[in-house]
Amino acid sequence: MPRHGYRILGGSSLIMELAYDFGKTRYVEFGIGRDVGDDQIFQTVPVGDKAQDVMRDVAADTWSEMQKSVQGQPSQMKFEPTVNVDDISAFAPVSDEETMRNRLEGGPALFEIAEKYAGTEYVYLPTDDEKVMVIRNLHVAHLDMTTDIFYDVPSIFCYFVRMMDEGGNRLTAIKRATTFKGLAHKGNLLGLSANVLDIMDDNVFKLDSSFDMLVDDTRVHIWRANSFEAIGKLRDEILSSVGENIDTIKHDLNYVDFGPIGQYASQHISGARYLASIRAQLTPDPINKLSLIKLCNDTGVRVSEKDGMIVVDPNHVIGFLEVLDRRRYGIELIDGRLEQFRAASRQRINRQ
Amino acid sequence: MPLRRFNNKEGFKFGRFVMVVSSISPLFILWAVKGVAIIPDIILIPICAAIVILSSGFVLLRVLVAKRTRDMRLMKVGTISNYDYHALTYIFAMLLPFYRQDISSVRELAAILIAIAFIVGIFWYLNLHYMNVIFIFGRYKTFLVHPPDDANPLAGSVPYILVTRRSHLVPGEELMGCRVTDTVYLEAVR
Repeated sequence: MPRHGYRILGGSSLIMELAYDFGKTRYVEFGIGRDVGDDQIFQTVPVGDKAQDVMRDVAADTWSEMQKSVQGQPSQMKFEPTVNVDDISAFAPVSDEETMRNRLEGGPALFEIAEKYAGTEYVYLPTDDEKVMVIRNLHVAHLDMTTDIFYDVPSIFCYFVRMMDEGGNRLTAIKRATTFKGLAHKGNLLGLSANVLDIMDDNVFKLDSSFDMLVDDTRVHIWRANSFEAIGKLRDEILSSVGENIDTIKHDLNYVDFGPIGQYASQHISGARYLASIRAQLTPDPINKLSLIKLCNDTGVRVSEKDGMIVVDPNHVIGFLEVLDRRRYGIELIDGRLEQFRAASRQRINRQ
Repeated sequence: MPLRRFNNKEGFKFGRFVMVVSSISPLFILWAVKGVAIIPDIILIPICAAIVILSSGFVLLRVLVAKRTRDMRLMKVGTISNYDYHALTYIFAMLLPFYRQDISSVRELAAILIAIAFIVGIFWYLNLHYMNVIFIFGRYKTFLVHPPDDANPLAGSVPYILVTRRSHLVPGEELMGCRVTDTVYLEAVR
């Protein structure tokens, strides 16, 4: 069944809505995440009303930046509390071509594990995706509270703000704590006290000017993919799922010897990422063996055949994975000259 | 459940102490009315009045400040225990023994004050500062609430005291509490 994009009845294009109204914020809560051994502990910390207002504004500014980055125009935050963007009955289908044009013009892409993203780039994931499990749990959990934020400051790896609006919609904004804890014990901040500028004795935390991701009740809107992967502990998840991914891919590619590939990927995060991405792209139609061998030869990936199985040269495992992940290709625009390319990022044009 | 190797010490030390003093203010009221043989009324009554007014005023001020600065917390309800019966404990532990005592010497006064200090210390240590006649006369009920034991691995486990005018709570519901101390919340009703 062809995949369609959707347009809200009435004519305006669906870019990406945030299921939250900043103007009707009813409740703001701040918290920190700590690394405790192998675990992550999240706690809320009481903050004053001025800090709450600033945090809400930073979250709103972050959304604004994310919208600008995909629309190329001043942000228009839209809020449709009664429209569930996953309920297709509320929308009229449009053609695939228009969907892609809409996305290229102003829509964020779905986050892909093997893609390389810029420092700030708006991508998203639905909250039911297994990659956002930690973040989804944080969004809805009842957390313990602490007032002792200065205990073991180096263990703080992130901070977050959870909000609720008048309609009961929730938003969680999360930021990896780098500069946040940097000033905690610096002792080189000046402040005015009794009409004299002097060193501030109080410990200080600094809020960043934007968050790394915003989580509403349906989607995780990612602004910094690196931070998302660090906070969501995706690296560990990716490495631990190598075996499972290979087992799944083997079903379709039963003519490939995955021994050396599995060995490589379990020790190299790049290989593990490609495996996760390849698994996500599997279709009911299998990859043609001869086409695979041809593309490997055309792009300089050394493979051989033994007992009907494709065996990959141990030094070319990553190249082979790039081929399977559709990142390696050859183009012959000039007669007799085959140019080989590797794509750090690629987008499919035709969907079938 | 991960091993929680982090410091969760409770704040508001002074505030909790004042709240405990406020919780024994009925005793000072009774003493002011009954009188103490070895202390002239001109000294006793102002001291008792000051303790009662200042400590109770602190509690009210704390609630006011918490509401004004939006010091709120969104909490979930798991299992609930009704702590209203603690009022009985409070009456029998606090008021009756000391009220009935006739203080006729300095040594007796010193002994009673030390006993009260012990009780205040124990109440403070055990976080029993929610026992307050302000809440009782305000027709508030007191519940000990444990967070829900759901499948969320990040969920907290520290129980909290909820002071509310409602007669019962519903397990699983979400409510907003105004933070009186780190463990005592006054339900914020819209």
